Order: sequence, then structure tokens, then C-alpha cells
Amino acid sequence: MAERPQNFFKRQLISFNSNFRIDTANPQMGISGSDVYKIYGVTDDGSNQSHISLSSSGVMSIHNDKKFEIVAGEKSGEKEDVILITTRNGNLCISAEDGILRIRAENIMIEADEDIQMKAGRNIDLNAGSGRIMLNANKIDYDAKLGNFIRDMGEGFTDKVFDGSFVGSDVVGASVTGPILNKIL
Amino acid sequence: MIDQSTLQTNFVGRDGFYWWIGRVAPIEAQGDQVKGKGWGNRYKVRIMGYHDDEVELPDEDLPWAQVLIPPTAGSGSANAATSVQIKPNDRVVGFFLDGDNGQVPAIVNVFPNQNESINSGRSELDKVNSKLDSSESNEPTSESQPTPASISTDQATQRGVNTVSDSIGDEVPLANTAQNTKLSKIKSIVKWLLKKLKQAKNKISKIRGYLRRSVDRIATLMNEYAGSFMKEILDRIIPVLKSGLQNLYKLVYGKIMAATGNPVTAHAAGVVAQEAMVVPVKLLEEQLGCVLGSLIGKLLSPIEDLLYSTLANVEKFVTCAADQFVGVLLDKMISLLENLMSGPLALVEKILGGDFNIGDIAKSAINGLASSAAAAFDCNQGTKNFKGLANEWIIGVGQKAMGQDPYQSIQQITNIVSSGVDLNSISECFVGNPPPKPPKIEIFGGNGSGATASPIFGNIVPVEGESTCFALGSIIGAQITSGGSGYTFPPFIEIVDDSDQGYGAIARTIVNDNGEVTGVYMLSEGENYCVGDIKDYSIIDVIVEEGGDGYQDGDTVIDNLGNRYSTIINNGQIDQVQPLNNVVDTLPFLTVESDTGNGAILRPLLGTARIEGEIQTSIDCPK
Repeated sequence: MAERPQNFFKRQLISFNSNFRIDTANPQMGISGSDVYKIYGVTDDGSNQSHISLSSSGVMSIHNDKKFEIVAGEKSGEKEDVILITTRNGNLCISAEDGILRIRAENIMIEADEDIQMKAGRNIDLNAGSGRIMLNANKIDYDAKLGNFIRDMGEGFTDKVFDGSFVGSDVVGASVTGPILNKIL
Repeated sequence: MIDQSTLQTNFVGRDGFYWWIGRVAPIEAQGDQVKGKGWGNRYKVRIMGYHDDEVELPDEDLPWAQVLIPPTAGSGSANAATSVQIKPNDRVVGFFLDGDNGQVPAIVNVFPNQNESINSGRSELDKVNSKLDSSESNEPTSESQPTPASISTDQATQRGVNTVSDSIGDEVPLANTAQNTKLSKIKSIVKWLLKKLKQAKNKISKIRGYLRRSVDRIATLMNEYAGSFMKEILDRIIPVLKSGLQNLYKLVYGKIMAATGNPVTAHAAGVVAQEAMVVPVKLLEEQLGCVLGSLIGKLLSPIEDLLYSTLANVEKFVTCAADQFVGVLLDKMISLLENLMSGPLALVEKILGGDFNIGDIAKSAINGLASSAAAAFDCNQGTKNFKGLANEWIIGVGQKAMGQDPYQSIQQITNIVSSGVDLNSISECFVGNPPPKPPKIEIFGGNGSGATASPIFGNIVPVEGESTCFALGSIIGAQITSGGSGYTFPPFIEIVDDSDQGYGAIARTIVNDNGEVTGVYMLSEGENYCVGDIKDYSIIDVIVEEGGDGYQDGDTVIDNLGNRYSTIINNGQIDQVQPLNNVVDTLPFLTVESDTGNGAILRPLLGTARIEGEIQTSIDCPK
């Protein structure tokens, strides 16, 4: 029976005051190992803590309770690449759990060497201003049963229901719908 | 006789050197120095043996002592400066610049506080921070100046320390278009809510805010389920309506034929009957597009009810509780959908038939929810890039094991929906605080499957008092119980402690060329885990993660327990390290004793201790 070996002689702490400190080689165990270093700050009222740290298992963390900003390029040249976020191996994950991921730029390029998948729980809207929306592929598939896109192609819900019946497509297509239909009914 | 005082220079060092020990006066006595309107680094100090009478010499009248700083601190010249760190009540050591006169003291050093010290430097201007321990000692001990720990709030509460961030340990759902991750997202929201409610205690306005946010977020997530239901309904209803139209034609044709005996008239009547359904079908088409919006809007109240019920019953939102939550919610959603669809469907009642049941169709759609339509690719293309991704990230740790197979979860949800059970009535799923039990190891990813391992415990300390754990300890390794197959890269590994008691154990896996997991080594052993089976384990292999450079024959590897390992060096790099198979109860740390080499990273691999005399297998180094 033995306790976890800990060397407090190795710890080097500089606690500047009750707001800021640098703590290195603290044997205190964290969720991903002990701290290699931790740079820690807290406001006087304790409402905002922030830290930069490295754990013994190799997780480097930058946390802040409130806002966080990375700004660069005030004095960079036009069209210069200013900020790089890259993973040399593995995935880059971005998450906004209870909010909107907002990306704005004069122009946006998204390029995948292989596949791009986009998925929305509700709607996907594509709006082009003065220009066009271009879909360019060897093959384009669609799978839907409602909406004007497929209705205009004669494959809408009502078209499919009446396909094979004695009702002509001219009758199906000519029928009034929407607000006018609501008034009639 | 010459008066000695006339011979004195009253300058430091000329007439001897006068040391003193004193205590820095309270902040109230430090005058304009505190306000930044003074000069120099000066403190009022009550010097022992000189200023003992506090009545005769109040704090305000004490002499100013200047502070001397070490050469490395910087005087301020050319912007080189380090602030002096002296606080009221500090015990300081110094000497008099004016010798025996004792009027111009200088401070050269400070006694560090001990734990039992009552030398508080606090004041109205420098209070205890609620997030930092109030310790004012400066000793190399675990109690001295603890920094907020990188552990979850629950773990911090258990340990009686502060956490560095309330986010640590929280699970963040990650984007995944190839798999339905709604369940883990809902679980994450409810867990977040439970945590926030614990923190909010009785602050009603905050609790309302957290509830509202959770309800909105869950309702948003239900959109995809609603979409799946509608897709299934549309797929099923079209052939039913087509068939209904045919039957309508036949019915009218038959009746008119019977009445008139004229097939042309009968046919015309049948066609008119079908044409009469065009408007109702079109109206149904219009209304189907709007049903889902109404459905999500009407879900808010049931979600809120369900959350209240969950909060009343559940302390720990484990996976099966999440399944129940979603199951009950889907059941309510299907009931709402049946209500909302009843109006539009009444329009086409004539051709729909009595057997068309929205509820049954929606329930049958649940089985398809585990995968995602977005993952459907064309021929010659695959979803390999998007498969096997972790669905969640644990803040402070990294990716989380996938946990329960989504198909299993969906099956459980289907059963819950089919049986119509209520969250309050489910007893088989544990909803209280689980008693501490040994952690388990989850191996996931790596494009393979089937690998399992059990933890090897070390640094064991017995638990005093009543507990389901007889001891607490670290995880110093893992015994592979099945190597699995198909791994193309080392899979991820997660130490899962459902009781949230242990923390800090982080491991990595090793795979061989056959795609099997052959070992697990520890990056951090963690602590506070409930200890399970204890056996004798030894170092069965040493993984050479990096061979380094510049090593020579004769260099040896030594661990922190004093054991030496024979080493094979090739081209200046550590190639192999022979394990000793000695039984260990703590995670050894290996270093290379060398005058010339550096850069080697060695990982001891633990496993079942070998019987003495058993032939050792050769060492496989990672490719």
C-alpha cells in the first residue's frame, strides 16, 4: 500500500496576489493528469476565472469564463494570411453549443480534398444576392416529396398521388392552391 | 575619556553591522505608499527590541524601512523591474543603514509563512478571493497555496477544493453528419441543466433561465426526429392515397354502372370522383409542409414537464436515463403529431382508408434514426472519412468514448415508445447517485473493434469508514483482455468512472501489424479511483516511443525505484529496453543514464506478472 508519489520540492509557485499566479510542476492531480504549468487569473469578485495550462498527459487548455478574443492583423498587409489554426494530425472541431457559429468575410472559400457533408436539423437556406447559385457535378440527385422544385418537375406530392389515375396532369397542375384555395374552402 | 558616540560614523558597516527582525505594520499605517503617492519601496516596520511599546510608539510613527531587492529583480532602470512582494504582518529581516543609530532600517528578506501562521496580510484592500484557497502559507506542502484544480465541480466538491473552471469534465457534442447524435446532445443538455441547478441552488430567476434554455435547445434538437417522421409518413401515404383513388374510381364506376348499365357514363363518373380529390390532396400537400413547425412549437410544454419530472427523479443523468427521456419525449411527440395530422388527413378521408395510422408509422420511423441520411453516398464512394468519429469531447481531457451503440439506444427508445412507459415509473434504470465502484476502460476508434482491457491499480490506500470501496488508488496500467481486430491506428482509450470519484488517468494504446491492440501505457495515472481486483502486475514491456539520439553502448535505463534495465542501442538511438518483470505497485518512471544521448521517451507497459523462470517473449518495438 502506497500513496501516489508526489514531489512538492519540484513545485515552483509564483503567486503574485489573490488575482494571478503561475504554478509549475504542481503534483496536484487534475482531470488529465497533474499540471506541468498553470497560468491562472481570477477577478476580485471571483466571477471570472481564466487559465492557460498544460497537463502531464499533454492537454494544453486555454479557458476563460467569459469572453475571449484573438485579434491580429491591424498592421498586416492586404491579402496577407494573418491567423493560422491548423492540426498537423487529427480533426479540428469547432462547437457553439447554445448559439450560432457566425462566419463572415468578404469572400468565403471552403475546400475539401474529398467530401463535404452539410446537415441541418431543420432548414438549409442558400441565398445569392445579385448573382446565381450554381450546382456543378457529374450527377445531381434529390429526394423530396414536397416543395415547388419537385412540383415544377411534375413529381410533387399531388402529382405522385394522381400518377396512374384517370386524372390528367393538366387537371392536377391547373388546380388552384395556397391562399386562393384556402379562400375557396 | 572620549565619548564613543563621537567616533561613530553612523554609516552601515563602518561601526559594525546591525541586523534586526521586525514585523510589517498594518496597511492603515502605510499611508500614501498604499495609494501610490509615496516614493521608493518603503514599509513601516515594528522592529523587535527597538519598537516594542505599541502605546509609546504607535504604528503610524514607526520608521520607514526601505526594501533591498535581489540583483535579478531589476531596479527599474531601462524598464527592468519586479514588484516587491511584502504584505502587512510579514516578518522581515534587515539591517540599519545608519548603524547603531537604528533610525534607517532596510529590509533584505522575508520569513515565509507557515501553515499555522497568523500573519495575515489581508486587509480591506486585499481580501480573500472566493475562488482561491485562503491559505497564506508559503511551504512546499499540499495545503500551501493550492491552485484551483483542473477537475470537475463535483470532483472539486468531493475533494473540498476549488475548480479552475466550471466547464471541466463537461461533455461537448461534436458535429457528426454520419451518425444521429441527438441522444448524446440531449443527454449533454440535461446533464448541463442538472449541474447548473445544483449551482443555482434557490435562485429562482436563474433556474427559470436555465430551464427555458434547455427546453429551447431540446425542442430544436427534436426537429430532426420530426423530419424523419414526416419523411416516413410521406413515403407511406402516397401509395395509400393512390390505392384509395383507384378504389374510389371502382366504387363510383360500380355504382353508376349498376344504375345505368352504361360503361362510358360509369367511367366518366369515376374520373369526376377522382378529380374531385385533386383539391383536397393539394390542400393536404400544403398543410403537410406546415405541420412540423406547429409540432415543434407544441413540444415546448411537454419538454418542460418532462424536464421537471427528470429533475425530480434523476440525480445523475446516465445513458439509460437519457434513453428514457428521449423515449418518453418521442412518445409525446407522436401523440401530438397524430392530433396535428388529424385535420389535414380528414380532407382525404374518402381515399385514405381506416387502416392508415400516423402513430404506427412514426414509431416505425424511429428505427431509422441511428444513421443519418446525409451519410448516403453514391457508388464508388464511402463514408469512411466520417465513420468512427467520437461524438463528444470532454473538456479538459479530449474525445470521449462512443459509449452505447446508437442502434442499441434506438432499440431501447423504441421499446419505451412502444410500451408507453412514463419516466416516473421506470425503476430499472438507476437515477440516484451511484455508489463508488471500480472504473472501466473503454477502447474506441482506430477503425477496429473488440478490444477490451481492465485497469491495473496502484498507489493504493485503504478507505477508512463505510464505503463500497475498500481502497482508493491510481490506474498504473491496463491488462488487455481482448486485442480486438481491424485496428489501422491505435484506438482511443477512456477510463470511465461512473461514480465521478476518480480522475486524471490518461492512457494510450499500442496496436500490432495484425490490427490488434497489444498494450496500454499510461500518460497519467490519476488518483482517487475505487480499487477493484488487485493482482501482481509487472513491467512486461517497455515501449520506446522515441529513441532519441546520441546514445552509446553502456548507457542504461533506470527507473525511479532504482531498477536497471538492459538496453539495446542502434545508431545512437534506444532500440529496445528489456523489461524486468518485477512486480510493481506504482507507475515507474524510466530515464536513460547517458553522458551523450538525449531525447528518448520510454513507456513502461504493465501486465500480469510472469512466473519466475518463465521464458520472456522478445520485445516488439512500435513501428
